[in-house]
Amino acid sequence: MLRNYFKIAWRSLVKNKLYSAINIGGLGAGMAVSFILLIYVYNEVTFDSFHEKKDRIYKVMKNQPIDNGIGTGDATPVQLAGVLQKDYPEIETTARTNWAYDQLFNYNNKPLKFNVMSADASYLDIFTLNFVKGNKRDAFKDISSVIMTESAVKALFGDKDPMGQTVKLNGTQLVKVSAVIKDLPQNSTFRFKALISWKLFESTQPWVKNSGWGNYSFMTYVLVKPGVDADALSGKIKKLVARYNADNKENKLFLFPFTSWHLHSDFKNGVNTGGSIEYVRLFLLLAIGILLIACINFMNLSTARSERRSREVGIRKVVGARRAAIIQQFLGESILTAFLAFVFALLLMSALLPSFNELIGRQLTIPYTNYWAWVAAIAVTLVTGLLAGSYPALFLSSFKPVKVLKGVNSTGKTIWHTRQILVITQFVFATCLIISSILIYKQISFIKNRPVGYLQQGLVEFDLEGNMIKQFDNFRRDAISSGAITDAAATSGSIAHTNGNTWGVTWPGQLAGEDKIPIDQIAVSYHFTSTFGLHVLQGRDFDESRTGDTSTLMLNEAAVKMMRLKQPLGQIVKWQGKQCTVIGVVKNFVWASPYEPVKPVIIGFDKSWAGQVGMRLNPKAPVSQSLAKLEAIYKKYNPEYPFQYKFVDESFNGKFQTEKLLGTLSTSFTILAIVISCLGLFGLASFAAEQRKKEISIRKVLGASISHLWFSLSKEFLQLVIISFVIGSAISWYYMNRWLAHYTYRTDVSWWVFIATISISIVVCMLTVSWQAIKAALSNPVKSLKNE
Amino acid sequence: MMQEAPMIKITNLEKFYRTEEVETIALNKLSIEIATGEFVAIMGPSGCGKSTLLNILGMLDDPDAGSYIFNDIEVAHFTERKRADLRKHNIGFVFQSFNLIDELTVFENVELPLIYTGVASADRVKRVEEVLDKMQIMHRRNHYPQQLSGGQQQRVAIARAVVNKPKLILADEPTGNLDSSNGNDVMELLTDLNEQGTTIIMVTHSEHDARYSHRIIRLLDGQSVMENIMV
Repeated sequence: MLRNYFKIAWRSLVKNKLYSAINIGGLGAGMAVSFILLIYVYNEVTFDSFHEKKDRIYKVMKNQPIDNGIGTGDATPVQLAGVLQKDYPEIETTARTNWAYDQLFNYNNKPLKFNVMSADASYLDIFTLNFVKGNKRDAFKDISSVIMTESAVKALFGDKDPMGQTVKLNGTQLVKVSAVIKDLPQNSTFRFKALISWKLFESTQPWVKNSGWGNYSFMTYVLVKPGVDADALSGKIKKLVARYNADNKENKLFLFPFTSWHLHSDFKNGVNTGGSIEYVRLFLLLAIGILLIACINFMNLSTARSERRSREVGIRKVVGARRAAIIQQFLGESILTAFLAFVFALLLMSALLPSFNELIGRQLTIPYTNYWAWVAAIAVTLVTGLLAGSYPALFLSSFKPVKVLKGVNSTGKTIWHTRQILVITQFVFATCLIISSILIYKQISFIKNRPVGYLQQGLVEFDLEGNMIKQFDNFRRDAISSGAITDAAATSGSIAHTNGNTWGVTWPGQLAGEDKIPIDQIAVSYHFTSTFGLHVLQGRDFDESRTGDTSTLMLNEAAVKMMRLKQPLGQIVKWQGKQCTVIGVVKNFVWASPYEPVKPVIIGFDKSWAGQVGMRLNPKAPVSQSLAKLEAIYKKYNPEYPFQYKFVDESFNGKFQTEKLLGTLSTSFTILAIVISCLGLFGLASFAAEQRKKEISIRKVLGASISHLWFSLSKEFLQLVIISFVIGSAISWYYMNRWLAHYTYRTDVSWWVFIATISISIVVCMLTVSWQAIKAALSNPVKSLKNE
Repeated sequence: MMQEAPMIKITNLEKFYRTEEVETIALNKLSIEIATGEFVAIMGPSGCGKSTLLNILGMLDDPDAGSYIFNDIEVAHFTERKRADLRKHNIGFVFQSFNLIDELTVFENVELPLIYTGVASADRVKRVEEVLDKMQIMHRRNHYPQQLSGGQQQRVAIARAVVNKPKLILADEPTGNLDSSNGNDVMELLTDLNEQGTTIIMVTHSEHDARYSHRIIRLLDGQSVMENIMV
């Protein structure tokens, strides 16, 4: 019997090639996109879960009063780990790390930059690393050891055995490879390629050890003993800072579960407000939504064909089939179709995944070897098949053989209504996506048009490292005289990102407690405003010819406003423990979030902080030529390091990555939703045309024109689309306003967005429906009347 | 005249069709008996209730009132499921428009009733081949219905109706879509089946076809108005 079902299902699919292609293609595309989203969701929710002790690992976090409210961060003082270990028996061990950054490795004159993190040896006890060579007990025995990942080792040593090899770190320090680990998995918060010991870090950067309780520059991880109530422990450490460092007693510590960090890292006013989990939820919703509209589509198309299958059902019943047998048959067909769609989805997924990876910046793979992934995928396919087939199966099997064999339409009004509701559901979804996509792009373009306050074009930055630290002035002189650049300046960090902040700043007329407010800062030397194209509103920039400028600073407009300085020039502001005279005020420039108002910034003078170089390319020379000249000059002064530069406008554009990603995804899903919905509409239209064949023929015989028939067939669908639009726009108006509310600088939900959406929907709907309507209107009336 | 109990005995059978405003009487207190082995033709003008009667006799439809005893069993109020079970073991149908499934071959169409009665695969092949041979369409076994002439299609339909060896065959204008030569062939086939013991009830408009039967029941407005015994 089963074989018979599949045989007839297969033949029915082959016989109706267009219909089968639409059905399998629609469902397959829906499944492929849905599965890719589910892989992403799975990857996100299992982030960091490969650490064996994951349930006992916590990050130490700090709440601190800021301008208006509480700021939360994960930077902690260097002494904290030791104190936690000493004072709290609940803690098994602690480890400190710094923020990983790219450092230069040199082996046999082969320079390569890898992302390097420094960590206490206890880090290896807390977190799970997969040792391929060496072991965790001995890896950091020697202070100048380095643990490297397989891919780093491969890049640096090729096929040579890396164990015990000596490499030069940052041009000076010799380190020896003590262990090789597997590359960190895709879903790991830590992304380093090499790990060096904290002792080595301290010995190369002596300031670290003496940085004191006021310096929040490192991360502290805690492994609690099994069975310890982490909430209680978190409460106990709250006032730890006050005990050791009365100056910063406002800073309250707490423990945050390490595995929650990836998805829940946003804090507002000291309270966790989620984070990427929002996107995971959004993607999950999209995955379900897309699968659902694909299913609806499938149901619509299957029931649309019911007219043609009704006779078959009648015959089967007459020759002895029970209703259950008919239900089984149709479910069998839909399951078969679902599995064909699944195969198609697999092909589509492997084609789409690379682009999706590029889009979201991940390396997701189809888990072919994962047993549970197959079980889950097949279960979803089975459920999809059952869900999609259930309605046609129940509907078709209810046909009375007497009626269908006589050609009486048993497809009544109810089925029509159900299908209308299904189509409305699809189009509501599509409407929401169209409106969201338009608004996301509107918001991006609104923010991009916001003036940044400096000249972004032709601005290039590179890290100040190696010999360049000493040779910067010579490099600058040569570069300008070569005609490659017009100016250059050394800064503490890139202008595309906030460099950091400080507190303990005092100024005339300061209110009590205001000295505790963290203020953004950048330290520069000469030529800062001219290189970056900042507008000096009052006073002047730092001047090489004035020796006193080492104890001066500049403020931005926002800082002047916050300090309530009526005459800022000449005022004394204490910054980094130094009394500095305000010599200039610059126009606000955007370097933090482009969606927020510009915050106060102190531009201090300190050559020793220099870590970045900004250069203004010569606008009269071709960019490639200038960059070639710069590389040659760079190599002259800093031969050990590769010349790696970044365009500031590109770095700045990175700030729109999330929104751009949302925009691209939203557009892709919009197109997909429209296509799938149109397939559904197409099915409904063919169903209607089939059902009204007799009516159309009679009208035609009585003299109705083609255009009249076309309109009478199309208007119902127009109604559906308009109803969907009303529901969809209400929903999206509500949630897009909520989304925009996240941004201080935001575009408005204009009326034209809705006009555009309804226009798109109507055009698409009419194009889809008209084909069927015109075909029906053009058909020979004699044929359908004779069949009656 | 009849010694044993009749195969079919209907008494005061009623069937109504209702729309929102009108109620039409299709069968009006109709009583008929049909013995095992009979060949009965039902005739009458359009709308007299012939097809309704055939559908009720074939257990495709249920009556609104009255009794229907089939082989000593009262089936008038059987559930759909019970009717289906009784039907598939006892009754074969032949329609005017053949009603073959286009997606199945000749062989598979004939095999269908055996599948639903749960006959084993090897046995099915044997029985289908047997009946195809008898109907002289063995050479067409792998063809699809659209590849056959009307007469051939009706042979397949009859093969399908008899493959389960039913006691009763219900034929609804079996020659209506055929030319006279093919029509005569079909009537010969039905006569042969009847002579081998199968009871046949046939609805027809054709006096010519009716002459093949033993008895003609003429209906008018849902009632039996005349019975002719053929000699």
